[in-house]
Amino acid sequence: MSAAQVQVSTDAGWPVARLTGAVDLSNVEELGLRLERSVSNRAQGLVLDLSAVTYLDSTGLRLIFRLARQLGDRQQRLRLVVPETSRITRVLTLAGVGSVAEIVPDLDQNTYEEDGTL
Amino acid sequence: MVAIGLAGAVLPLVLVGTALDAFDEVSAAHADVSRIHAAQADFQEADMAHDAMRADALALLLPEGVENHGSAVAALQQDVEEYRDFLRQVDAVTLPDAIIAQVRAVRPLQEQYATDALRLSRLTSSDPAGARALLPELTATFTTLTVEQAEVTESMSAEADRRRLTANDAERNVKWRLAGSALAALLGMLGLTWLLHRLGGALAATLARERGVAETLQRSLLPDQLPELAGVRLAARYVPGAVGTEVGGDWYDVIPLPSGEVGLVMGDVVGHDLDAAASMGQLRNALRACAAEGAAPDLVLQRLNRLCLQQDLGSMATVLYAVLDPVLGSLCMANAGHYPPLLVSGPDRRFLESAPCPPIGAVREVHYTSTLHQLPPGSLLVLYTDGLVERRDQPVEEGMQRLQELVQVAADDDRLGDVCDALLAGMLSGRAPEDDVALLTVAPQTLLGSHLDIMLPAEAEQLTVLRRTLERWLTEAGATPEEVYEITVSCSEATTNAIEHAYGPGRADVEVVCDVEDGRVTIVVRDWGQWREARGRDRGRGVHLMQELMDDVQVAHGDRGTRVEMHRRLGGATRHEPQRAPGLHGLQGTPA
Repeated sequence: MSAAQVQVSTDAGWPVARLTGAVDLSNVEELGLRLERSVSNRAQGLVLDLSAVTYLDSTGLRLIFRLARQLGDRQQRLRLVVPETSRITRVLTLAGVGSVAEIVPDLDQNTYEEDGTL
Repeated sequence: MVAIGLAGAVLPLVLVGTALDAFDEVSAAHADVSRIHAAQADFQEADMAHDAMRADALALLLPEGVENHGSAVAALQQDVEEYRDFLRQVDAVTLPDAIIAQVRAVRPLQEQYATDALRLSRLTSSDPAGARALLPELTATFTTLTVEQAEVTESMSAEADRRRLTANDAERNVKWRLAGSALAALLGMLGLTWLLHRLGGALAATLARERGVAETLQRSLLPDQLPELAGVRLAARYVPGAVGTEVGGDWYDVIPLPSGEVGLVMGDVVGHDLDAAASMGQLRNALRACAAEGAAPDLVLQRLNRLCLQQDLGSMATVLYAVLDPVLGSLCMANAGHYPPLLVSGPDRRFLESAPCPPIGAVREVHYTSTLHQLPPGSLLVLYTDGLVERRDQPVEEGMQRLQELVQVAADDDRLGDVCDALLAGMLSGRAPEDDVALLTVAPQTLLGSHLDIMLPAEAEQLTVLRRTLERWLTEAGATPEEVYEITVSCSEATTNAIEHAYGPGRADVEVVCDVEDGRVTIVVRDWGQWREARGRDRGRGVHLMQELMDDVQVAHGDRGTRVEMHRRLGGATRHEPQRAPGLHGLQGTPA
């Protein structure tokens, strides 16, 4: 199985899931489950930090689209952290991920409104 | 044949025994003969003495008398004394009974003769007539005595001759028996040799059988074939110890790990018998289980040690476990009391030493240490067991130094097996080793070359090694990091499709063939399954990505599988201009 990890923390009321390593067919199911569980019903949404993801292909895109859909069904949002220099940027762009999630270059710019809403 | 062997062993002893008895007989006969001769000589002396006595006596009785009567009497008396001495000497000799009887029979007459002679001598001065009157009696005794003594002497001669014959017979007997015993001994030796050969043969056969079982077991537990990995070549050898030594518990193993890395094992179970070979099997499997999830080598050895003690495998083993990244050439290694592997890189030859740790199964709660090493392209790593460097007649340091001097790096096109064989031949000097030897060599390739053919099981776990191999190959081919990533994604997409759509459950393969020519990369991914359309939502992006990232993509589905061929020219952007970050960042996520 590819080495990939999910670490979940909370930042200003939003859970932040930091994904590291390579995402592919061998680990996508497990990662998906862990990400889904990281979002409680009360959270505004999920910040998915992809800064440390070394590889991502259509399998990972599938994960992101599904996650976005599941969150959307619950009126929650998905925000992706993708540095401009990240190698996965092109894949995300080609797949049109921007249509289902907000993409920010780093976590620091991930600003929230006073009440914790986006 | 057994009877001959036994007879051959016993008969010489019996014969030598009887020969010795016969020899005693010979000696006894010879002794008898010499004693008889001695007695005979004394008898003859006595005979001469009593001749002298008679002469002296006659002289005393001569009518004209003797000139000096006193000295003549003294002479006679001396003759009598000598006569008696000789008779006593005869008595002192141990003689055959028959002779003794004869000697004793004649003795009274001899005594009487001596007595008469003395009496006569005493009377010659006082009563010459009385003395003269004794003469006829003395003469008669003398005559009888002469005849009887002659008979005794005759008997003695006869007896001596008889005894001599006996001695000769006995002598011949001894000779025959000794010759017979020598012959029997010879036969016996042949028989015994044969017998020992048979017994030894049976024993050897039993040992050989056990050895054969151990060796078969041993060999059955060693990998049939080492995995073919892109970026690194592996070759291994196992040489059982010389006949007369026993098979040990040496083993090597190569364990493919989910990360695409491989676990390398070199181990040696303490002991040299069937048990050691069996323990080796258990340890090998235990180590495989401990390593399967791809844990760090120190943890793997720690688990193995715990398992070994918990399960009471009852064995101790030195084990070297290393995780090799075939693409990057990195080696993470932990060592439980095993000889350090040798790394040869250009002129640099060094043993990869690590902190000394006890063997597996020796101590509870050991903390092993992992150390990280880099295997440069074109280097050679040699893992081995003690049989390679230990020899009874030299310290192990010399063996290790010899290994260091002998080992030669293998060029990319050399057969690594030949390198192993040459190393074994050099280290063992052409003779069977005293202990068994396991040898595993690892040679990171300098370059992957312009053609790369990767066959892998159609399993998601294989994607990592595929990507990492491709990354290295593309980098060597001169691709930029972006090109590396994009081509890798395309190839992964095609492979993922094959894994997901081509096969049902069960073993199946995917082949990825990569070529680069004049800066143009061609990648062909093929499977041998039945294509089935993607199911579920969010599918179909893979093909789209491939088409976007590569210059062209052709997909051909057929009865005999699917073939995807893709091209990409290096040294520039894709045909499709990338839609870079500006279009990405700042986009507002749209809640679905």
